[in-house]
Amino acid sequence: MEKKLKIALIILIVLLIVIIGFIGVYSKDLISYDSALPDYILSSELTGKRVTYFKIDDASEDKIYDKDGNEVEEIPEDANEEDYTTESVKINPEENLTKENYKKSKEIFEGRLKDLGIEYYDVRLNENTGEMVVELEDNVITDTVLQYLLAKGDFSFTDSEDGTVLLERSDLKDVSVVYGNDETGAVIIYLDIKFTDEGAKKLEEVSRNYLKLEESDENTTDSESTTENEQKQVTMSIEGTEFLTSYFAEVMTTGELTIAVGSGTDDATIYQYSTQAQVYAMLLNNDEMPLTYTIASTEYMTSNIDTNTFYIIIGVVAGLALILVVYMIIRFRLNGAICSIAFISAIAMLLIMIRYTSTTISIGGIMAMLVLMAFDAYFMTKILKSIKENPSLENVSFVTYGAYLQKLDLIIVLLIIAVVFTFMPQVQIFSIGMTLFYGIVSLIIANLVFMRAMLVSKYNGSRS
Amino acid sequence: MKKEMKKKLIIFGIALVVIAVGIVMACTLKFNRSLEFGSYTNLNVYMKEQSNLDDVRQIVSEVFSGKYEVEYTDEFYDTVSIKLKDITDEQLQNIKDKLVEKYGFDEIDNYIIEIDVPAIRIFDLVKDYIAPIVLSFVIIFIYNGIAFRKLGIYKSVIEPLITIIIIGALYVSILAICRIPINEYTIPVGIFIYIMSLLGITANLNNKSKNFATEKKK
Repeated sequence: MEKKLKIALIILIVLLIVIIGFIGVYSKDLISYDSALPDYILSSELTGKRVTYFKIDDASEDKIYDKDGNEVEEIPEDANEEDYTTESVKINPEENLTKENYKKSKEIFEGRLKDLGIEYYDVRLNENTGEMVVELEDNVITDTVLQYLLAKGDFSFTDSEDGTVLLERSDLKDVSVVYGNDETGAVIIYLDIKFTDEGAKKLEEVSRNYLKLEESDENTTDSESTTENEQKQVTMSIEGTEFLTSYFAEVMTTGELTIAVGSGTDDATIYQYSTQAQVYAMLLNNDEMPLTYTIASTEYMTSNIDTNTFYIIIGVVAGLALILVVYMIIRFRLNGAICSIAFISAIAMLLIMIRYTSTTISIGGIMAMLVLMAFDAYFMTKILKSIKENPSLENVSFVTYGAYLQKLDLIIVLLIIAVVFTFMPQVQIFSIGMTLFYGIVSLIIANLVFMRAMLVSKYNGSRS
Repeated sequence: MKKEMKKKLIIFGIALVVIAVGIVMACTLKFNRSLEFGSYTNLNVYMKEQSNLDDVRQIVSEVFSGKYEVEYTDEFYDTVSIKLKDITDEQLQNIKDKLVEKYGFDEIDNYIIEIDVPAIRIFDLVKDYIAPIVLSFVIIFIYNGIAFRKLGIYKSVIEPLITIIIIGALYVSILAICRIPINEYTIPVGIFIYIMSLLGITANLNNKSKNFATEKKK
C-alpha cells in the first residue's frame, strides 16, 4: 500500500511538471488568460530577420576652393565670388573603389557589429561592386545599429588653432568605457583611450606642449615689451563632431587618456551617456571607413522555416521521443514505462528551464535536444538491461546511481561542450550550450529522483 | 584481432575514397546552396497598395523556370521581394516589363529596386563555430588522454582524433557528393554529428578501459 502511494505521489508530481512544461500556467486577467510563464524566445533562424542592402554612395558633393587652391567650407559673405571655384566631386572617388577597400569595409562592418554585442549578424560582400548585404535580428535597436554602420568613424586630435595633426588614429590601441563617481554620488561615464607605444610617446610630448599654463606664465612683462603666452589647446573630434577642446592638466606618461563623456544621477541620463560612449568606443576600436555607403533598401525577411515547417520539426522530435517511449515499454515492460515517465518529466523540466532562463531556441538548440534524447536512451537502456539481468533491490539501488558514475566520462564530455558553447557570444552557439546544460541537469534530476524512487519502490515492495 | 584490424582498414579505406571524391566535387562543382545561401538577384517591388503574392508568382513563373521566392517585406503587404536564382538579364527585363504592365508603374526606378546579392562564403558560415569546436575538442582530448592514459596515447588520443577528423571530412564530402544544399540546417546537423561522435568515442574508450582493467586482473 505504502509502495503504491509513493509511486502514485511521484506520478502526480511528474504529471504536474509535465502539464506546466508542455501546456503552461495561465491566470485570468480581466478578459483574457495570460501565461504566468515567460514566453519562448525563438532565434532569427526560426522567426525572421532584417535584411539591409548597402551600396556605395555614388553621389557627388560640391567643394569650394579659394584662389590658392585651399578648400574652404563656404564663400565668405564679403568675398569676391570670382576668387572661388566650386567643383563637383564624387563622395567616393574612382581610385578608392578597389577590392581591398571593399573587403576592409566588410571587416569594419563586422567589427562594429561585434563590438556592439550584436548576437546575430551576417555580412555578405559582392567583391565586384562593393555592395553589401547585412542580416540582423529585427528588434527595436536594428535601425540604430544600421545607422552606426553608415558612420565614417573618423578621428582627429589636432591643435585647436591651426589644425596641426598631433595624434593619428594609428596611435590608438584600445578604447573602452569606464565608470566612476564624483563627490555628489553622480555617475561619470568616461572614455578610456589606450595608446600604442609610439602613440604613448607622442601623447606625452603633446601633453607637455599643451600643458595648462600657470597664471605667472600667462603674462610676462619686462621693460621693453609685454608678451602674452596664450593657452594652447587641443581639439579632439570623432565622426566630424568636436568632442572636446581643452589643454592638459598634467603630463601624460601612462599612455592612457581618460575623457569624461557625461555624468548623471538618474538611470535615463546615465544610459544616454553610456550608450554615447559605447558608440564612440565602437567607432574608434575599428578603422575609419574607406568608403561611404548608403542604404539601398531594408526589408524584413521571414524565416525559410515557416510555421508549418517548425511544427514538422517539433513533430519529428516528438515522434522520435514517442518511438523511444514505445521501445522502452515493449522491451522492458513496466520498468520501461517508469523510465519513460522520468524521460518525459525531464523534457518538461527542460522546457520550463528554457522559458525561465530566457534561453533562445534555435535549430542548434533543437539538435541539442536530440543529443540529450540519445544520451538518455543510452543510460536508460543500460540501467534497465542491468535490472533485467539481476532484478533485486540491491542491484536496482546501485545501478540507478552506478550507471552514471561508471559513465561519468560521457557526462563530463557533454558538460565541457555545454560550458564552452555557452560562453560564446553568438546566439546560435550559446543556445546549443545552454540547452545542453539545462538538459543534463533535467535528465539527472528526473532519473536520479523520479526514476530511481519509482524503481526502488517497486522492487522494495516486491521483496517484502 | 586481425579480423578487427582488417575491418578497420576496410572502413578507413572506404572513408578515404569518399573523402577524396568529395574533395574533387567540392573543388570542381563547388557546393550546392539553397536560394538564400547562394547568390541571387533580389527585386524589391513597391506595389503602392496591398497586393496578392500569387499574381506576382504568376508573372514570374511565366518568364522564369528556375528557383525563385516571392514574399512580403513588411506588415503593410505593399512591398514584395522577389528572389531569383541564376536569372538572365533578358528574363529579368521581361519580369520588370510585365510588372510595369500589370501594376502601371510610371517611373520604374521609383518602384523596383534591383540588387545582386552575393553568395554567403562558407568561411563566414563556419567561422563563429571554429573557436568553440576547437576549444571543446582540445579540452575533451586532454581529458581523455588523462582519464584513459592506461590505454596508451595512441588509443586514447591519436586514434579518436583521426576518427573525429574523418567523420567531419565524411560529412562535408557527402554534402558535396550528394549535392545536398547548404542551408540553415547544415551547421546544426554538423554540430549534432560532432557531439554524437565525441560521445561515441568516449563511450568506446570507457568500454576499452574497463576491458583492459578486467584483462589485467586476470
